[in-house]
Amino acid sequence: MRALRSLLIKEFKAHGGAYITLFVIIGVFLELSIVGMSQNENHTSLLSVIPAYLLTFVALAGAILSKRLIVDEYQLHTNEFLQALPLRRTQLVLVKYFLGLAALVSLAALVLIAGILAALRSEPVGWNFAGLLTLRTAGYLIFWWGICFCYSFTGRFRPPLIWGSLLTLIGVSFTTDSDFVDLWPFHLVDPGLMPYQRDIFPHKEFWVSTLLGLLLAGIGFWLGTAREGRLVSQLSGRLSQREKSAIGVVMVLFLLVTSIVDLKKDKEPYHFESDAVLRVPEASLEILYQEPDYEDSAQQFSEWLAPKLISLRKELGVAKLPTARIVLAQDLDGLTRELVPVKETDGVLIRCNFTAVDFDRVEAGALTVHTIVNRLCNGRATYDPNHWVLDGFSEWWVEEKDISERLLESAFVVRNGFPDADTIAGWGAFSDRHGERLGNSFSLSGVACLEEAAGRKAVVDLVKAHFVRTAHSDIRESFYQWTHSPSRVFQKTTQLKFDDFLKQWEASLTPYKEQQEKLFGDPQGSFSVTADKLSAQLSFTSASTPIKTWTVLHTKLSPGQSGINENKLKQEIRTWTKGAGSAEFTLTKEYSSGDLVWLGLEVDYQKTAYPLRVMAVRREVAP
Amino acid sequence: MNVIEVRGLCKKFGKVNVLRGLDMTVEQGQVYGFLGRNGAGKSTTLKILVGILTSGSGSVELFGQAMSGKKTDLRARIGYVAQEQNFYGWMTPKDLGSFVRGFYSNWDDTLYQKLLKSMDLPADRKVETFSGGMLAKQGLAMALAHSPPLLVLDEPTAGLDPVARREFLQMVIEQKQTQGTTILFSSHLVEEVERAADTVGILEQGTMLYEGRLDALSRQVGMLKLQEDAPEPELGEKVEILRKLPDSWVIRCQDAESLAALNASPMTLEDIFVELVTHRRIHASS
Repeated sequence: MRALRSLLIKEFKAHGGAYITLFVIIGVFLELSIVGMSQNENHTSLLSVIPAYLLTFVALAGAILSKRLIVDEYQLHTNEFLQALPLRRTQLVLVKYFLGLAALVSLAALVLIAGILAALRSEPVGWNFAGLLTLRTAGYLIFWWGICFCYSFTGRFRPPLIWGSLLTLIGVSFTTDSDFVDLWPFHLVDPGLMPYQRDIFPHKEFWVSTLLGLLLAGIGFWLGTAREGRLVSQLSGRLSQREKSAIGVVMVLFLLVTSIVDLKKDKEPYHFESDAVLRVPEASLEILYQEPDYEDSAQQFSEWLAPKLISLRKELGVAKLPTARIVLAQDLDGLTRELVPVKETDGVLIRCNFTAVDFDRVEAGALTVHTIVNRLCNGRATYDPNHWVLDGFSEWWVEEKDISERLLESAFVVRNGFPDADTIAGWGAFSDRHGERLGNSFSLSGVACLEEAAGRKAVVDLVKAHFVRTAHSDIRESFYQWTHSPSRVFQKTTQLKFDDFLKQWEASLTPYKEQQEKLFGDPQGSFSVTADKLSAQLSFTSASTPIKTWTVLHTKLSPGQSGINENKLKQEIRTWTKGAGSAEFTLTKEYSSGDLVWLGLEVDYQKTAYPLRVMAVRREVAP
Repeated sequence: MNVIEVRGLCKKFGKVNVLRGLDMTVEQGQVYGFLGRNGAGKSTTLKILVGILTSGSGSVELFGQAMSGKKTDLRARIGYVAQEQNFYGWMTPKDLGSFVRGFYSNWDDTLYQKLLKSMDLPADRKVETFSGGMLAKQGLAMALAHSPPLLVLDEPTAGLDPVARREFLQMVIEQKQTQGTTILFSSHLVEEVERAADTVGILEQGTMLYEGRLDALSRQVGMLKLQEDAPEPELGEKVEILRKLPDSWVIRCQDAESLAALNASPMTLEDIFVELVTHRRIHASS
């Protein structure tokens, strides 16, 4: 025991400083991550810091610890000094194994405890779940320390082995369908699963990791003691020229093989398995109507949408459109539609309720067209400064002949002044401020104006120029964007100067100005937000059409967050008292001092299908 | 009493036979000089004796006990100074003492401090700043601080300058004189063995060429001058010719009287060592 104590004290004196530094660094970064995540309302679970840190910081700590505890001992030949002491070689190797494991466990425990304590503030973490997280971590640690321990005894072959292993993992990820976290030991701490599998324990992965880790530790133990310790001493020498050349050849061969071999299975394209599907191949349209009773509704929707898609394909000059799949979702109302995220190659998947009485086929169709065109340009439209063109085009393509209501809504948007070119180029912020409905209406008014000024062909040409173009994936694209400014492309395709067009666009809405004032009154909103309360006021200076409800929308923004997720906004809906000129709403203790919040105010008129956004602001919460 | 008794010791590293049936006996209180060329198997033998390596075949007894199974216990009774001192550079002699103390039940801190002082070793200076001579002394101080009945030194003066070498050997001799410690040290320097050892073992290609007292060896090997035009002398069974030179023969007799009777000239230990080793090499290759 005295010998063991001496050995442990020696190790602590030699590596204690490094260990404490690692502990502090991980602790500080962990705290920063937790604070950062807590302020980001888009985070899903604070427990996700646990796998993130286990896969990065703790893994790195394992490599550092094994280097210091074992590799250095052989490289500096201090192992020969230890071997001369009355101590068994097996004892020495076992002490190294357990000491390194204990150090790694303590670092992982820090991550685990900090992660669980942080998560407890926002989600329940019972003893069972905490136990599952601990077991997952234990399996991963045994595996990872097994690798580090085993590699430590490979001397000069350790760096090539580490790089080889990393390349293999990357190679496997690239050439097969398996991502590296899907490999069993890493699967235990898969960031996408570990924080969420509350009732599932991956038994197979746990046992495979543990046994693999112990096997690797056993190999390390054998390497450390084989031939009376001479094997590891021999391995600790420098790489010879022949060995270096051999490693180089193996690496090059490996890279060649991984660049040639592709074991990835072609994924089955997404398809509806049900028989209750209406298919229109020429329009690349499929509608899942779930039950025979709803086939007629699907047929009606299809008869309306399919010709629009066929003409879209023809006019854009595209051989085949991405398949648009519409799913009947009876849990939604007629005005709501949801875009389901699928792989780009799987086309477009939209949920909506086309059997509802109030089903808005125009908006559902516009979303379909919008997503199809966005797919055609590989999603580039999302960040394109000409995004208003796509929004307006999608609405325009499917819109019924009478768009007066949309023009009225557009006039409402510009009631306080027409936006300049820069504001329109920052379309995302503009759209956030006015809401999806009003934003779409306004862009539709622009495209309608363009059709009137330059003709239908000009509209289609503009969309083709911006979005139906194969973009380069390298520096050439930057050069293209630099030489094809939005205003230049606009002028080239429409023969109109963009500034002149803006004036025409503004003028096109003038006839609706008076009417919108009559219809919607002149709603004025204001917000006041402090740490104690959030209050909103809405008032009308002129008489208005009957109002159903008014709604305060709010959400906390994370630092640097630009856009907002309309579906995740908190809504405070209040009924409007008939004949009232103003109303006030108060919410207490919702935000803390210094928080950045987004606040919006909407009015739902009885005569409009959708609520109109009166205003939206970003504010920092006052003390 | 024999402190070390080795019989028929063999050791192979892969296909290389390093020790081939080595016999060796070290008595209590002896200063045993283990002489041999580089690669003769000296270090391997010593490493087997202190338990760092295992023996292939043959028997090894220390303090009258067989080595097998008791390596750690027996090793704790041996003071060992390796050929190279691979201490932790960041440690001071004080740290080294604190560390090594835990491995020896009869470690004496006072003695260790005294040894450091007598060897002029600064207790609080990191050993990475030590010269080769200081490191060898540090190794010796640690080997002696637990008062071992057997001190094993594996070419401890290799790489030291002549002054440091003499100083080191002097300390070893003093240890024998004051404590009566049995000392086994290896060297390829004949002069060193001559200066410190009373018994010598000459090792070549893994076998013992000679084991016994130094003075007895110098009385057994000599150079016989040949008379010009005279017939070759008849030497008898008790005399072995190690080498024939044009005008003289190097001979080895079984006893000192035979050599004296032949009127052979005495040789230095270094010459005797060279002749024995060369003879063995020629004999082995033929």
